[in-house]
Amino acid sequence: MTTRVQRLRERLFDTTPSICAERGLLVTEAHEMYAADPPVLRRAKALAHVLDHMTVRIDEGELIAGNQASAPRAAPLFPEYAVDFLVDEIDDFPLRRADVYSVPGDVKQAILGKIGPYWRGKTLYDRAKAMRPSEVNQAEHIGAIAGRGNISSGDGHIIMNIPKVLRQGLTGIIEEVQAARDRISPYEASEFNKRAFFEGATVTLQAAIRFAERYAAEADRQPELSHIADVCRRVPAQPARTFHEAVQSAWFVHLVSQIESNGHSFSLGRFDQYTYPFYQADLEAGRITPEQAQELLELLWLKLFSIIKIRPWSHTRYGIGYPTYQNVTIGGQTPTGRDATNDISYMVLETVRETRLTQPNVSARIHTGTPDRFLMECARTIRAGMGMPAIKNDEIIVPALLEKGVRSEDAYDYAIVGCIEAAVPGKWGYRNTGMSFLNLLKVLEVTLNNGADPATGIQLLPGRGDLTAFDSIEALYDAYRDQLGFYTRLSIEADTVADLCLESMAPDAFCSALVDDCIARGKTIKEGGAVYDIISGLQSGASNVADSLMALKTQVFDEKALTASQVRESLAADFQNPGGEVVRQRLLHAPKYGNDIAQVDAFAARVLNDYLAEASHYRHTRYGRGPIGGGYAGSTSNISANVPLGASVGATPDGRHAGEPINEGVSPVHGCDTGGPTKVLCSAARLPTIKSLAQLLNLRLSPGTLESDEGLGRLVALLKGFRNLKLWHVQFNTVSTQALLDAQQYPEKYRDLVVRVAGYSALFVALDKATQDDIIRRTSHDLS
Amino acid sequence: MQQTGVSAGQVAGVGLSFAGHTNGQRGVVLTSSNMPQWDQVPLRDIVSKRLNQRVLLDNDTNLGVLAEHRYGAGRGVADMVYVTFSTGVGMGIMVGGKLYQGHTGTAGEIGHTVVETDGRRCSCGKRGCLMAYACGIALRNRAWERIQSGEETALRDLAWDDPQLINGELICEVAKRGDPVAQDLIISTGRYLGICLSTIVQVLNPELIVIGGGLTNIGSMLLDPCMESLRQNVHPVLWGAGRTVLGRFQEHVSLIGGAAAVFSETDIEGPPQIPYLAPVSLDWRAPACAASSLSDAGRRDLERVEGTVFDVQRYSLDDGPGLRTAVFLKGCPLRCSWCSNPESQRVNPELLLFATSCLACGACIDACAAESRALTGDRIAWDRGLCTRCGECARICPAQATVWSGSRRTAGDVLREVLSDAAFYEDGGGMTLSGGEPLLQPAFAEALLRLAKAEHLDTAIETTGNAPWEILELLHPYLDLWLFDLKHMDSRTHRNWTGLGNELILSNLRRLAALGAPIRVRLPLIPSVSFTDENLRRTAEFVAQLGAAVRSLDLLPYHKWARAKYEALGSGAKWWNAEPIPDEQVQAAADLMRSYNLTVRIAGDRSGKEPL
Repeated sequence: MTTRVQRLRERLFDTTPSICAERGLLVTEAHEMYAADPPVLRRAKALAHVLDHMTVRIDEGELIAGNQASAPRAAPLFPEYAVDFLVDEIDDFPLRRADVYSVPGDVKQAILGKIGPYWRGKTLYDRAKAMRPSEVNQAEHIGAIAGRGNISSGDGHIIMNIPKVLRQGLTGIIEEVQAARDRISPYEASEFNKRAFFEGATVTLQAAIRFAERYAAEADRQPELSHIADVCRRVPAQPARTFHEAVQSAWFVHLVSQIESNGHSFSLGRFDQYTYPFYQADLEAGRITPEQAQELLELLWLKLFSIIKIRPWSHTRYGIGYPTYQNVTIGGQTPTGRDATNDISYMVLETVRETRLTQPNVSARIHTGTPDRFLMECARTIRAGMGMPAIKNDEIIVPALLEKGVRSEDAYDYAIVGCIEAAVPGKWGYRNTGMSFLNLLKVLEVTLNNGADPATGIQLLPGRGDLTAFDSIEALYDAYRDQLGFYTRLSIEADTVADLCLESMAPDAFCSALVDDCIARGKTIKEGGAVYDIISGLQSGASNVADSLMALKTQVFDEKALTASQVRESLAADFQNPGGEVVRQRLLHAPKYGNDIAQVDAFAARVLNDYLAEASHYRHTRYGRGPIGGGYAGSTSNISANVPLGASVGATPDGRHAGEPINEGVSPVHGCDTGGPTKVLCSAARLPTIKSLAQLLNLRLSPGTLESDEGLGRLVALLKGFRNLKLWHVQFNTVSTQALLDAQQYPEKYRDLVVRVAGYSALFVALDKATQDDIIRRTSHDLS
Repeated sequence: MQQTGVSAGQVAGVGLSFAGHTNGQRGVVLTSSNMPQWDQVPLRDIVSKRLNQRVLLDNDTNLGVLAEHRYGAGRGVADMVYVTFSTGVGMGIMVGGKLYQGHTGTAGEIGHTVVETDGRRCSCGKRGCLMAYACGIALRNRAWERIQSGEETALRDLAWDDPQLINGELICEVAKRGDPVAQDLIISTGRYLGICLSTIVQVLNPELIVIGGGLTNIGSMLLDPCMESLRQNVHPVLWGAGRTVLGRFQEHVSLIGGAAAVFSETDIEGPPQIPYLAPVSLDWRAPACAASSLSDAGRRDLERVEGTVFDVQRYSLDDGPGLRTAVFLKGCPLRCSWCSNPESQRVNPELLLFATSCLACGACIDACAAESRALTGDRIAWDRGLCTRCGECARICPAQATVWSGSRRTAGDVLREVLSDAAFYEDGGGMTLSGGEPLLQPAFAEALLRLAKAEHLDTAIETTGNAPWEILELLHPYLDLWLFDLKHMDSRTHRNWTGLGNELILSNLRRLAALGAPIRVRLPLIPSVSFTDENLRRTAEFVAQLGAAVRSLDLLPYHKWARAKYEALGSGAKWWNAEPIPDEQVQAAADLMRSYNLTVRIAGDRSGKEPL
C-alpha cells in the first residue's frame, strides 16, 4: 500500500456512514418536471438530471475520480422504490443495532419536508403491496417466505458488458442505439413502444459522458490533476487506450448504474480478463510500472468500498454489515477452456491483502488446470482472514450453466454476481438469484403442526395432522412435500409481483443499454432484453430440515426411543418441559448433515430436489419474450438471513431451540459438523448442485492452521478436494474464536476486523450481536 | 538290479515308500486311501522274503523329510518338516535331527486334520478333513461338482462327462486362460493348504518347511494364496520364525528318501550328495510383490482381516504430510503415565462415561441388568466391577455420555472410510495408522497398509516401536513414513514410566534406520521425566547417529487435554497431572537438539517454517 492509498483508506475508515439527500431531491424534482414522459424515459431523464447536478468531488490524492454521493460513505436516497421506511425509521438510523447511519439535519428536513410527502403512496413498494395476494403477505408474516427487499429496492444482481464499453466507448454504443432506433417502423404500435427505451438509453448514455466531463472540468481547476482531466475527457465516451483509462471507464459505468437504481450486487465481471490487455500493452510501451498499476487497483478498491446504500431495517437484517455485494471475478478459463489466470489476477489478490476491505467481494475461479501458484496465492489471501477470495469451481459451474442451455463459450466465460451466483457477464438479466427467500425449516414446523404456524396460529394450507398423526417418516415427508409445494408457489407469486412492478415502474435504460441484446431487441432487461434470463429464489435451512427428518426417522420411527407425542410436547415447550432436555439430547445426537453420512445427507438432497421439481413448474415474467431460459433454478445463497429466518421458527426436531438461527446455505448446522471440513465437503457433494445457480458453503479455519507454508499447502489440498468433489463455492473465515470474542468486548480495537458473513465480508464490529454470535458459533476446524 | 547290473551283495538295503498309513517299525501297511483293499499288509516282510534283502518300509512323507534332510534343502537343519501336496496331503517330521513318527507311528497325517466342522465327507469317513478340500483328488471332485451344478466353465468341454479326465494340470491350464471356476478352485485350494501350514507352524515351530508334491507344479496361482493364508493365520510372533521352501526332488523324493532311510539305519556312508536343484524360497514374511498389484482375490482376503479400531479421524493435520486420515488401532504394550489417549491402551472395546455430557437422567440405571449403575446426588455412579460390558447403557444414553471406545472392523470397511476423503489426498496426503500401538495388530495393520498402497495412497504409521522386529520388517515395504516415538533413553526410567524397558525399541529404531526407512523420531517432552538436559542430549546423540533415514526429530510438548477421558474411563485409569512446559523452554530444548545437526520441529508450533 502506498502512502496515498493508506491516507485515503484511513479517511474512509474514519467516516461514519451517513445519508445524502442530493439524489433524492434531484429525482423528486425530475419526476415533477417530466411527469408526462413514459416511465422509461422519465427515469432516464431523472438519472440525467442527477448526474448533471449532483456534487462532483475529487478528493486529495485520488487518481480515480467519481463519487456516489456528496460525502464519502454517504448513502444516496432512492425514494421512487420505497419511502415510508425513510420517514418512519429516520430517527432510528443512527441508533440501529447494526448498519448505523448518521442523518444530518438538512437531510432529515429534506426527507420529511419534500421527499416523503411527494412519494408517499406512489412508490414501487406501495404498488407491490397493493398487488400482493394476502396469502403472500401472511406467509411472509409467519416467516415462511421473505421478499420485502425485492419490492423496496431495485433489482441489481447484474454484470454489464464492461468490455464492450472499453472497446467501443459510450459514443459507440449511442451510435448502436440510434441505428436501432432508425430501423423501427413508426407504423407498428408494438415497435413504436421501443422508441421510449431508445431515447431513454441515449439520454442516459450521454448523461454519463457529461458526468465524466464534469470531473475533467473539476480536475482542470487543479494543474496537478491534468492527468485525471485527460482520462475523464477520454472515457467512458471513447474506447479506453491505457490501463488507467480502462479502470476509470469501468468505474464510471459501474458508478452510474449504482446511481441509476438502488439494487445491490452490481458486479464487475471478469475484471482480470478485460483489463489485462491494457496492462500488458502499457507495460510493453513503458507507460506503466507494475507498482503504478497496483496502486490504481487499490484506489479502485477504495472507490468500490465507498459505495453504500440504505435499506429498511426489515431488509437490512437479512444482509448485515453494509454489504453492497459488488463482485469481482478473477482466474478461471478462457471461452475455449484454457487457463485464464494472468498478472492482474495475482494483483487483485495482492490488492485484497493490502487494502483489507469488505467490498468489493472477490471471487477466484479454479479448475483442474489452475496453476498451483494461483491456488497458493488464494490460500495466502484467505489466511489474511477477510474471507476472500471466495473460491468458485469451474468444474461444476460450467456444466451447471451448460445444463441450463447456456452456449459453451458463454458458460466458460461466466462470472460471479453478488455473493456466489453465476451468470454470463453482459448477457444475463437482473437478479439471477436473489428472489424471495423460502424458509425450508419453517415449512417443516408448519407441517408438524397440521399446516398451522404455532406462533401465530395462521394456517394457510391445512396439513395432514400434527406430528403424532404420522406412522412413518415417509408419511410425514409426503405432508412436508405438500407444504413445500404450497410455499414455493407463494414465494414465486411474491417474485412475480416484484417483477411486474419493477418492469412497469422502474425501468433502467442505462443498465439495459449495456446488457446484450436489449438494444437489438429494443427492450429493457425487465421486458426480456437479456440473452439469458434464468433466476432463483433463496432456499434456506435445508440442513436443519435434513437433521430434523433424520432425528425423527431414527429416534421416533425406527428405534422408537421417543414417542411422537413426547417430541411434540417438547417442541411446543422449547424443551423446557420435564424430560425435555433428555428428548433434546436424543434428537441432538441423531446423525447430522455435514458428517459424510449418506442417509442424512440424502434428506437434504431430497428436500432441495423436491423444491427444484416444484419450482420447475413456474415461469417468470420474461418467459417467451426473448431470453434463453425463462424459468427457475436453485440457490442457497442466503446472506445473513439465516439469523432472522431462524428467529421466527420454534424449536425443531433436530434439537434446535426456538429462535436460534437456521443453517446458512448448505453449511451444516452450527456445531453439528464434528468430523472436520473434509466431511462437510463430502456431505455437500451429495446435493443437487448442478441444478443450482448458486450454492453457499462456509468453513471456519483456525488461523493457526495456516500460519506456515505447509499450512497453506494443506489449504490448497482442501481446495483441490473441493474442486474434485465438484462443489460450487467455498469461503473461509480464519479469525480465531478468541479474537472474535475479544472484538465483541473491545470493538474499538477491532475497527477493521473483517469476517466472512455469507457470500460477502463485513466489518465484524458493525454487525449486530446476534449475527456476531452466529459467526462465533460456526464450527471452527481447529487443530487442538 | 538285473537291469543296472547291481549284485545282491552290493545292496545295503531296500527302502520301500508307500503312500498311505504305515507302521515303519512293524513294516506294515495299515490303510491307504488310494488302495482301499490294502489293509494291515506286512509289506516289508513280503518284499524282504522275495528279495532276500534288508528292507525298510515307510510312508512317502517320512521318506521325503529324510531326503530333504540328508540331501536337499534341509541339510544341517535339526527341526524341519516335509509336506506333500499331491494326490493327498501328508507330512514328515524331523525333530532334533531324528524322524518323529509318533506313539503308534502315524505322526504327520496332517491331511486328516479337520478344517471345516461338518464339512465335506473325506475318504476316511470323517467330515471336513483338509484332504476333502485340498489335494489332487479333492480338486478333481470339487471341479466335477461345479461342472455338474451347471456353472459356466471351460472345464465342462474338456471333461467329456468323465471326472477321471480332470486333473490338476488340466485345471491349471484352464485357470491360466482365465476361467473363473478353475481359478477359484486353485486359489481356494491354496488357501486351505496355507491353513494347513499355519497349523504346522503353530504346533511345531519348525526351522524349515519343505513343500513337495505334484500340486506344487501349478506354481504361483496356488502357492501365492497358500503363503498369504499362512501369514494371515499364524500368530505374529511366529512371523519369519522359519523358512519355507519348495523341494526340488520332485517325483524322485521318495526314491531318494528310501535310500536315505537305509543309509541312516545302517552305518553305510552313502553318497555325500546327489544332483539337486536349489530349493525355491517361498517367503512368507514380506512379499516382494509390488504393492499396487494386488489380485482381486488377494484384495478380498485383505479386506476381510479384522481389527479393533477406536477412531478414524479425517482431516488429521498432525500425523504426516498433507491432509490425512488417521486410523487409531486399539491396544498398546506401553502404559505411559502421561498418555493422552488412555482409551487406546486396552486391546478390547471398553465403555466410557463422560460426566460433563451426562444428564443424570437415569436411563442407564434402568437399562443395566447387572445393576452396576446408581444415582448418587446428581451424578451417575458406576461400579465397573459389576459391569458385564453388555453395552445397553451406551445404546440407551440420550446424550451419548456413555459411549463405546473401540469396535471390531474389517480392513475393507476401514479403508472405504479412508477413501471417502480420496479427493483430498492429491497433495501428498493419505492414511496414517496410529493408536494405541498399530504393531500390536500386525495382520490388520498389514492389510490396511497393503490395501492403501494398492490405492496408491501415501501411508504413515505412528508407533512406539515396541514389537518384534519381524513385524516392523513386514510393514516396512508398505510405509512411506514412520513416526517413531522415543519416550526415554534410559531403560530403567523408561520401565518406571511406561512399564517396559526400551531395549527392543532402540534396537528396532536402529534396524529400521539401517533399512533406510523414512523416519521422524518423536520425543514427547514430559516435565521432569524426558524433559531433562541429560535425556535431551542422549536422545539427540542417539538420533544423530541413526543417519539420513531420520528426516526430523519432532518434539511433542506435554498437554493436559486428556483429563476428561481419564475420568470417563473411571478409577482404573489415573490421570497424571503435570504442568505444561513453558514455550520458551521448549524452544530452548529444540535449539539444544539442533546443535546436534538435527532437523527439529515442535508439534503445535505453527510459526516455524516446517511445523508438523
